[in-house]
Amino acid sequence: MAKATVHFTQIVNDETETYHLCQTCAQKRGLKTGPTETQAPLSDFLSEMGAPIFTKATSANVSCPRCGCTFRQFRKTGRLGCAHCYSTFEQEMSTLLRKIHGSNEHVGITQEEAIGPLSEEEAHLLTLRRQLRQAVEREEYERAAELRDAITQLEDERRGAVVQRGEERL
Amino acid sequence: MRLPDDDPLGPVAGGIAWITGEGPHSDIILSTRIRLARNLERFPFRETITSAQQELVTEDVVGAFAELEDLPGSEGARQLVRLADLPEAETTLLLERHLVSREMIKFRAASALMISGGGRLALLVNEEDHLRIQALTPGFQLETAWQIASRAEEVLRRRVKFAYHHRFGFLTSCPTNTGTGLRASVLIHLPGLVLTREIHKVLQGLAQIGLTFRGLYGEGSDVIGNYFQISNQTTLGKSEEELVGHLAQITRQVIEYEENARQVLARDALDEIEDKVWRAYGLLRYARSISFDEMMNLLSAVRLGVSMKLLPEIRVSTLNELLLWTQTAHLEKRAGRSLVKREREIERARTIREILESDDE
Repeated sequence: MAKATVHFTQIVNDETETYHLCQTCAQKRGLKTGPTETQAPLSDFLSEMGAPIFTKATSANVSCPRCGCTFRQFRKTGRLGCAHCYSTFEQEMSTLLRKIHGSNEHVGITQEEAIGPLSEEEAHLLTLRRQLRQAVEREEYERAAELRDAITQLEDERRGAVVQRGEERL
Repeated sequence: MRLPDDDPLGPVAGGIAWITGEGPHSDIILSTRIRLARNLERFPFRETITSAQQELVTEDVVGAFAELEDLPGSEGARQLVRLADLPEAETTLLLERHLVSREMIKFRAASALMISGGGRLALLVNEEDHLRIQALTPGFQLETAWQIASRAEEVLRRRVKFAYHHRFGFLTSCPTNTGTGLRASVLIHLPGLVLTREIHKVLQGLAQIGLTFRGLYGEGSDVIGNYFQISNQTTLGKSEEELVGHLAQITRQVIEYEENARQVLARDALDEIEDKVWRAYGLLRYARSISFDEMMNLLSAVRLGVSMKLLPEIRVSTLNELLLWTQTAHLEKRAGRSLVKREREIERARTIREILESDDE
């Protein structure tokens, strides 16, 4: 018999029917099934990590000088007390972040880094947007429509750049 | 369907720009979202912050928000809403629009939402983190969403100092967001993969390559109506570009799988699928009372039918409107009062008929 490739459930007037269909459209009745969701919450990571790192006397007793949070508290709630906790528990966080993300070194945008000065194109876009708002305020709808089209066209042209670059790096 | 004049976000702003269904692949992908989690360096995280400090966080962010003028996604009417000022039903209204999280409602005393560009750009204040910068665009538009979110972040970063660690990057209350603080996601409709039972394979595959999925209402919510939110699982060790690029690449693959599954349906079970989508359409069109779950099932079938051209054309914006206006808080908002289950089901059926009829015009 051909393998069923299509399965579906139909609810009509509260009656549930499920179909399993093969290539020759043989119909069978069966049970309704659907996708179920599983997610690994942070607590799983924390418990998975096991005892070694967390039972260190130092970690257990040290509290963050800025917010007073202890590592034990963090372990319970999964939430840190403040930014300084990351430095207070640096070694533990380093291990934990690697477990969670597969890395503990940030390589993205940094605190100081600007995403880059506005390009000529972007500056032009900003001007167009400003003009558009003014046009709408003055109820010059024909002008607004023209500006809207010009903005859309420019935006379309720009689309794909960052995503494409990201994909190329993979 | 028009927003009521007393809408919490105003009848113009509304925060539902995504509903237009503009943008590529909008029959399969409802919306694309990018959010950046940030905390202000001078205040502790939510675990230990005081309410007075939370008020200062809001002040800082509101002040900086004024500087967002002329950025992508910040055009048009703007709105600042403090959740504490809203009746609870109206906070649910914002949840149904994907503009606030359950987390924000739970801690609503201090949380605030700022939107502009019809919700294309939203700042969620005093959420799990002090600030979540969110870009929400219709269809599959990761690039546009990234432009909106990253520009807003840059302007804010120049004005308020974010918590940052030289090795770990941007610091967040929960270490699962540390580093880039970036979560990019697409809300995708995959009935073909569910019907052909290929969906488990796809979802398992996602987990193996650092992506995850959630239900329609985000973390912890059930999958309903075959809608899945696919997003990056990790936020550290890869650049923003790589994270966004990876999601783009995989999403395109999932779209392809979904399209293949639909071809299998058309090849192997055309009569049955046609019957299914027409029945669904008939029920939506003529039912006098309908539960949310049944509607979501039917709506999924109708969306599939329209996309496969088995049903007469219904605008994507109409399909999106059906999703929005039939949710409980939206039904109650239109009715102007709270509704018991039975009233709600009658009201839902009426709303569906109205929206479908307006599409005929």
